[in-house]
Amino acid sequence: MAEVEGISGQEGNFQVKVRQKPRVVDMDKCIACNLCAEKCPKKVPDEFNEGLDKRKSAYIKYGQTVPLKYAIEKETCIYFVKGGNKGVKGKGKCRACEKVCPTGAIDFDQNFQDEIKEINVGSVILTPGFKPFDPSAFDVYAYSKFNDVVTSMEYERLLSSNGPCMGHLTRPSDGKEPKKIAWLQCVGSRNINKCDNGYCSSVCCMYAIKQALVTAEHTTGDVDQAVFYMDIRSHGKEFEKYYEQAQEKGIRFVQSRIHTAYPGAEGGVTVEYFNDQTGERVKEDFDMLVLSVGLETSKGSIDLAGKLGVELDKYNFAQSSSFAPGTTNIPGIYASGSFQNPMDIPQSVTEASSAAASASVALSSQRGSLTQERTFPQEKDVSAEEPRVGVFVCSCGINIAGTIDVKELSEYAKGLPNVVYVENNLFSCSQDTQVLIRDKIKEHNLNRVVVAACTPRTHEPLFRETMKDAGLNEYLFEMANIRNQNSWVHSKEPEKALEKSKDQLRMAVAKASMLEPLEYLSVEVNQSALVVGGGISGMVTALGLANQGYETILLEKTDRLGGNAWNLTSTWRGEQIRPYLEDLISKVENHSAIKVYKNADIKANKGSVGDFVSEIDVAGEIKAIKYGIAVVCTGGHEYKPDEYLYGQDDRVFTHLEFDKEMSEHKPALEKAKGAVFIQCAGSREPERPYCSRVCCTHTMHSAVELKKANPKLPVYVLYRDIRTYGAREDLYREARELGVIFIRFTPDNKPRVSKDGDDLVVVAKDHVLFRDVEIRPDYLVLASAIVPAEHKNLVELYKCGLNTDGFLQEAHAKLRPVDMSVDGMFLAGLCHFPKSIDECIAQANAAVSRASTILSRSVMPLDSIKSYVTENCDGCAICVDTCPYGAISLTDYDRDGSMHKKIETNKALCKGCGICEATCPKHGVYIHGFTNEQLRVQLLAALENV
Amino acid sequence: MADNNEPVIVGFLCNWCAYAGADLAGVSRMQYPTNMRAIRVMCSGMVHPNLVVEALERGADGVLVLG
Amino acid sequence: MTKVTVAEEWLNACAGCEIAILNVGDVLVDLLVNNLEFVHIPVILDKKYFGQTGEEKELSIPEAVVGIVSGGVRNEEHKEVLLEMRKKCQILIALGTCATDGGIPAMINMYTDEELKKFYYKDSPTTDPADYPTEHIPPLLDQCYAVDQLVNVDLYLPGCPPHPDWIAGAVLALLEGKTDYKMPEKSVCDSCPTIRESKKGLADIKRMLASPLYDPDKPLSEMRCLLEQGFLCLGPVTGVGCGGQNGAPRCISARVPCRGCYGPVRKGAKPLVDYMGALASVGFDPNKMPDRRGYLARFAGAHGVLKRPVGGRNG
Ligand SMILES: Cc1cc2nc3c(=O)[nH]c(=O)nc-3n(C[C@H](O)[C@H](O)[C@H](O)COP(=O)(O)OP(=O)(O)OC[C@H]3O[C@@H](n4cnc5c(N)ncnc54)[C@H](O)[C@@H]3O)c2cc1C
Ligand code: SF4
Ligand code: SF4
Ligand code: SF4
Ligand code: SF4
Repeated sequence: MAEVEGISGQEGNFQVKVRQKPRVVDMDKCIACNLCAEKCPKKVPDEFNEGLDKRKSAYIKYGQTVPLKYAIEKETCIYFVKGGNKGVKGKGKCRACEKVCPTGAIDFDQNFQDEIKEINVGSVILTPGFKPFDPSAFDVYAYSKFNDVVTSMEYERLLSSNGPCMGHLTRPSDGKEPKKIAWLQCVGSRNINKCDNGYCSSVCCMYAIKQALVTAEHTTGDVDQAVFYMDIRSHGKEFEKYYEQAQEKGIRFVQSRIHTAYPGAEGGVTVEYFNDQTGERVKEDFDMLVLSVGLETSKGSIDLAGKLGVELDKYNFAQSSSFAPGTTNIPGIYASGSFQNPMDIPQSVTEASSAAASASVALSSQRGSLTQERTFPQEKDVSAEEPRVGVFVCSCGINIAGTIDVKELSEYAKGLPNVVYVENNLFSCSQDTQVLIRDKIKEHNLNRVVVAACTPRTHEPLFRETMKDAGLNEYLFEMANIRNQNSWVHSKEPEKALEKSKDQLRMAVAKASMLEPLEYLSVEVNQSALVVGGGISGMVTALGLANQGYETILLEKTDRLGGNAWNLTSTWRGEQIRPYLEDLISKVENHSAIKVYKNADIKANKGSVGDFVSEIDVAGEIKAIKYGIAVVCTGGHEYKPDEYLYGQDDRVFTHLEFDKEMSEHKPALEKAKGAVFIQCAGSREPERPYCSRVCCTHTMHSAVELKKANPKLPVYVLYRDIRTYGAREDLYREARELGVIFIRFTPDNKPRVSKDGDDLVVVAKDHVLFRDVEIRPDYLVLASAIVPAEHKNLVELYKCGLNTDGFLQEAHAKLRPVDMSVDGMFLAGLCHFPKSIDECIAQANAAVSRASTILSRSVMPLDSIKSYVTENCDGCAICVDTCPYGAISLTDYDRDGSMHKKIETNKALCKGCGICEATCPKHGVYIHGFTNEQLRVQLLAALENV
Repeated sequence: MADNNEPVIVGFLCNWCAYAGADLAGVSRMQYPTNMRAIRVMCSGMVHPNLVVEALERGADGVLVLG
Repeated sequence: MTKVTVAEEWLNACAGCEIAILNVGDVLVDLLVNNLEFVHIPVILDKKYFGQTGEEKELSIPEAVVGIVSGGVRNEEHKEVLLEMRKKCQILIALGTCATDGGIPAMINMYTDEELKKFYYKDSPTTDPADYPTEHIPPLLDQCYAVDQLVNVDLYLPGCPPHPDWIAGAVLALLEGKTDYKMPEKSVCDSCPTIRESKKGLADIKRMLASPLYDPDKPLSEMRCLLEQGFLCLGPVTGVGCGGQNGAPRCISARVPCRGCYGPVRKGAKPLVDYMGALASVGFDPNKMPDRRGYLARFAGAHGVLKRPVGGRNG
């Protein structure tokens, strides 16, 4: 509800003009009870559900909105439209919401002017995102003509459990469940005839596959699904497996573009396409056609860029360079997410962290200057006292009280064991109630508090503060969720809801009585870093950290920095790599805060986040090092193929070998008879079932270079899918325009390479001619796979994880793409997954940003919910290997003169997941606040009346 | 639980997904039967099989471990 | 000084527990001189229940301060004797796993009486088919019970057989007036000195009769944990004590896996669920274990742990 109007000033001191629209609803008072929306008579199309259903003028955009606060939309609200504040004050009628709001949060009498605020900032990050392509212009797909042709965005809402059909898919025309659905790829992407989006939107193949798989789950019986595509681009980590899974599940992938769609006989659509397996034109009926629309920059974003003077490329994405991803032409203004390039979630998250890192380097001198801390009274020791539970039952206006008889519930609470005080509040979360709770704790000497209200997920922190304010340990608190999980979902069954609320309260009181004060944990952070691997990713990371002021150790296994980048000539955008690399190496080697060790390897490691201690071997000499975080950038290397006569004929090259050959013997091209590229050599094969991501672009790059050097040279590319995602698609188009010949093959019909006398013979089946084609080239270039570095040692020392392909595993594929599951460890570059240099640099920057969230503090607070070993542990060691974070170790100890075993858990590593607790056959290890007994008393309380 | 004709179900809900989902069902005002009693856990992996068995022994008709 | 009187009875038992009492050895001999007197112990001293000539109507056992019963309760006679013991003794000790948890005989709880009789008298390969005797046989109860399912038990000394260390320990404690003597609530692993490296990859399960890897010239502390070697060692879910106060577990010392003879680690524990749950956590597929119930509750089938299959057995 705020819009940027303009920016002036420069890096370090920008003035941003923000236009704040009035919200009508007071954010501090709104409790998100939905009453305003319920009573609001004005229905408007719900843009979040792509206009497929209606919402009110009083609304929240979607259920997960943070903060969860309602708003009145002035543009549609009856009061505003019919006079009201927009015209003559008080002329419009309605104001229904104002009357029902239980907290008086709606204020129609304020002065409704847009407010212009000036904010002073050091740097600006632009993340305006994208807009889905509008296919109305493509008349052939009849999108605007029939209802059963929808865009993928609309389809996403149709599938969603909180969408217009509540997750039970029905088609728009007649509400029937579709049995046959088709997806059409590349609508508004890879097209320069109907629109100007020559680029590949990168994400559509994967979302179409996801939608098809989800559809199978959301519909009854068998659904026939077909995806019409040009190339399936599953070039991300774990994506190829997902694609294979879809094929195994019977989803049809048809390599063809639908050229026309007609109305079907009984609703639905008939599509016409060319079947390239049989070489025939086919007409097929579908119940629905989903257009996989691409991403583009919105008009608003283009305007914004214009206002700020940020340069855009020819496709209206922010102009940037491979070596400084995320920067724009204006220093201090950064671009990230799909405003930079069409990209998926992990890439967006990575880029966002990366932009944050770039922004914060510039601001590092100011760090921490605006933060404040709260203080609390001394904590009272209640461990020896019997539980004295205070219960506060919230009415939440009428949100709870409207369904559940809170008076009776409060009465009931009085009779529960250990309960000594009960009170019903109108709003338990209001500021005055916090004061009241604090006073009652003191007055009645309460040592446990239960609030029966909404969800602990949003409100527990607030009440915990109140506990601390009253001098109690914050963990002596428990909530009964009688709103989100009761009154709201059982509003038509008040009696049963009351019964349930009693059970919920009884369970909460039972648990509260068992709660124990927990210790506040923290670790002292050694504010220095270790970077393992001195390729581009490692060097960018080290430089980023050092520029933020952190002492950094950079370990490189070989005798020189640079890694794979030494073998590459230029990026896909055409920038020369060598000068950049040499400059980077000299910056790293000369930086006063970076210590580079070459010929180095890690030998031993102890400790955990904030406080790692390792032994390293530097050219045979053992050194001890200490650091607070580690970033792993161990990279990978080119796979040496074992097919296509590789290694048996010196005309067969890998990409890197061919690059070298070209830089050394380019003139030989003049006389050459032809060049063949074979894609996916070693990738997308059973033993390496992933796509190596960079090889298609690399091939295009090389093929274009060859054609430019010698336009007469026949150049062939034998491929399975061409995966030139994003603007790399331009290279593919250029290669085609320059006359490169593309021949597709399938895994069961791979090209055959043999020798005939001195000739190298490549035979492939042409999918257009339906015939074997024989080529006798001078160069056979294999686009060979990228394989990860050897990680066994690191996995053992740090207990970090690998995926089945041997790449290092991130903590969460979508949301934490540069964190590892081990706290305080991050990753970047090829060791995570094959990627191009610009992507490596962005990921390295992101790692810097994530690492500084730890390094910026000298003491890091830890969550108190951790495992602890009980006296029952007898060292059987079953739990040790089950801990996903390697937090458990086995030790020997002396008891009454004889040796026994038991485990120890490391608080800094433990995440409190409780897998150990569920594994132990004898209650030997528990999780604070969730012990077997604490869960058990809740269970017993739940079943008390059964 | 008053009505004995209805099955009694105990649910162990992971704080990060299932419990959040149940909260969201509330925000969306979805209506569902009242006979599930939720116990919040920090990970569905922390539910000891003994708790599940004990729930059934003590009369629960079903146990949901959601995560 | 007056000696503390002791009555001992054996119910559904094998006399192993009584031999364990005798194995207390020197300590027992010393105690018998001044401190203890067995007023009733049919396995050693002849004793008629209904008077020397059968003249009495009611079964009787002399009064005693301490009562020890071994064996579970399987028929009406066991029950009658047990009730009488409880009546006559101030402190009752359940001795041996049959008494504490049902023991081996409680495996019968998986079968019906008809199945039992048919197999025992007709189908068993080593038996000449005969009819089930109907006379002079006490009627069976519906299942094999642990002692504490019928009467209150003050002290539990499990084991099959129980180690004499614990019997001596219990008796000495009682003589000192301490009635809260308790076995440690730890598992066999607590006393097991083997090396634990990693429990992952339990996919390959070895037969119990296979030999583990070990060097006979090296102590137990240099052998790898048998569970980790692929044997379904029940150590983790079995009460500690078979090796006595401080000794290593007996089976492990003989380089064979623990079979669970001390029963569950503590009262109310569910070894069946605990073991399967724990192994499932390290990646073992519970379905790979044949006869799970019989295997995991071999010594602890009472307390409703082993039941006849609902709706009969198929096949
Ligand atoms: C065949 C091939 C073709 C490619 N084509 C292109 C292209 O056309 N365009 C493009 O942009 N990108 C391309 N790339 C990708 C590009 O090479 C990478 O994006 C980038 O160079 C990777 O940098 P990195 O630092 O992540 O890894 P690397 O360059 O692999 O560096 C890793 C470094 O870590 C060191 N190391 C490994 N293990 C340890 C350890 N245990 N301890 C200490 N040090 C260790 C290694 O010695 C190495 O120096 C290609 C890559 C390959 C393999
Ligand atoms: S050549 Fe490389 S990028 Fe292209 S599809 Fe094959 S593995 Fe993926
Ligand atoms: S905590 Fe439990 S499973 Fe882990 S070693 Fe101790 S007794 Fe064994
Ligand atoms: S709670 Fe989870 S992270 Fe912590 S020690 Fe147990 S298994 Fe490991
Ligand atoms: S499982 Fe068996 S062998 Fe292993 S430590 Fe326990 S008792 Fe010893």
